[in-house]
Amino acid sequence: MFKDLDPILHSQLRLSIVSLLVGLEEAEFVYLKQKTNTSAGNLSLQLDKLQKAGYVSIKKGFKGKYPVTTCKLTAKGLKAFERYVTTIKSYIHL
Amino acid sequence: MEKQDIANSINIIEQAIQEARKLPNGAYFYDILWGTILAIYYLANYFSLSNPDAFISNFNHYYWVLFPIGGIVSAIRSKQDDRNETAKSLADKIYLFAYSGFAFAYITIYLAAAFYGFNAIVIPVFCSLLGLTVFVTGGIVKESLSVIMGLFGMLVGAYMLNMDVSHQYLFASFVSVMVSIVPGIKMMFSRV
Repeated sequence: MFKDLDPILHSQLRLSIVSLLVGLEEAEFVYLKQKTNTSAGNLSLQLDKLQKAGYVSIKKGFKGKYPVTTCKLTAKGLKAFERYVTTIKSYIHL
Repeated sequence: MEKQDIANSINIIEQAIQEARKLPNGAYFYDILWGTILAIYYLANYFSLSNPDAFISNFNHYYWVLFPIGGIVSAIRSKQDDRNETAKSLADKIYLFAYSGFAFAYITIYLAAAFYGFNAIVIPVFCSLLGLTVFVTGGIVKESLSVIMGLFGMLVGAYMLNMDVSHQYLFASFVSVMVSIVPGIKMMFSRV
C-alpha cells in the first residue's frame, strides 16, 4: 500500500515554489513569478494556500519606496517537502 | 498514481533546485576586496620591517587604515546587493557564519597572544584560520579551487610558525593572494 502524496504539494505551481525555496534562504515575489513563469494572480493564490498550510511564511515590507513581498520556507514546509520526496521515491521503487 | 504524474513532479523538483543553485551569491567581491587589503597590509609591513629607512616605513603606524576602508566598501556593496537581489541563496548565510566565526577566533587568539606575549603565532594562526574558512565554505558551495587553496593556506600557516616575523608578513601576503584573491577571481568568472 502506497502513501498518499501531500495534496498541498501535489500541484505543479505549489511544488515549483516550494522546490525553489528549499534551495534559498528567502525569495521575493518577483523572483518566484519570474522563475515559475506564472501570472501574479495565480502565484498570489498558491502562495496564500501554502501560507495557510504553514509551509511558507510571507513578509511584506518596503525596499526603498517600493513594496516587497518576501517568502521563506518554514520548518513545517521543509518537512512536508522531504516527506513528499520520500513518498515519490517509494513510488519509483515499484 | 500515474507514472506521468510522478515523472512530472521529479522534473519540477530537479529544475527548481537547479534554478535556485544558479543564483549568484556575490562572495567573490568580498574575497577579492579583503584578499587585496590583506595582501597590501602584510606586504607593506614586510617592507617596513626589512627596510626601516625606506620612505614608506614612516607610515607603518597607519597601515591599519586599510581595514576601515575595506569595511566601508563592504558595507556599501552589501547595501547595493540588498537593493538589487530578489532572492537570497543559502550560501550567503554560510559565508556570514563562517567568516564571523573566523573573525571571532582570530580576534580572541590575537588578544590572548598579546596578553601572554606569544606574538609570533598570530600571523601563522591567521593564515591557518583563513585557510580553514575558505576550505569549509569552498567545500559547501562546491568550489574545488577554494578547497585546494584553503588547504594550501593551512599548510603554509603551519610552516610559518618557524619563521621570523618579517618573513611571516611576506608569506601572509602571498597566502592572502592565493587563498582569497585567486579563488575570488575564479568565482567572479564562473558567477558563483
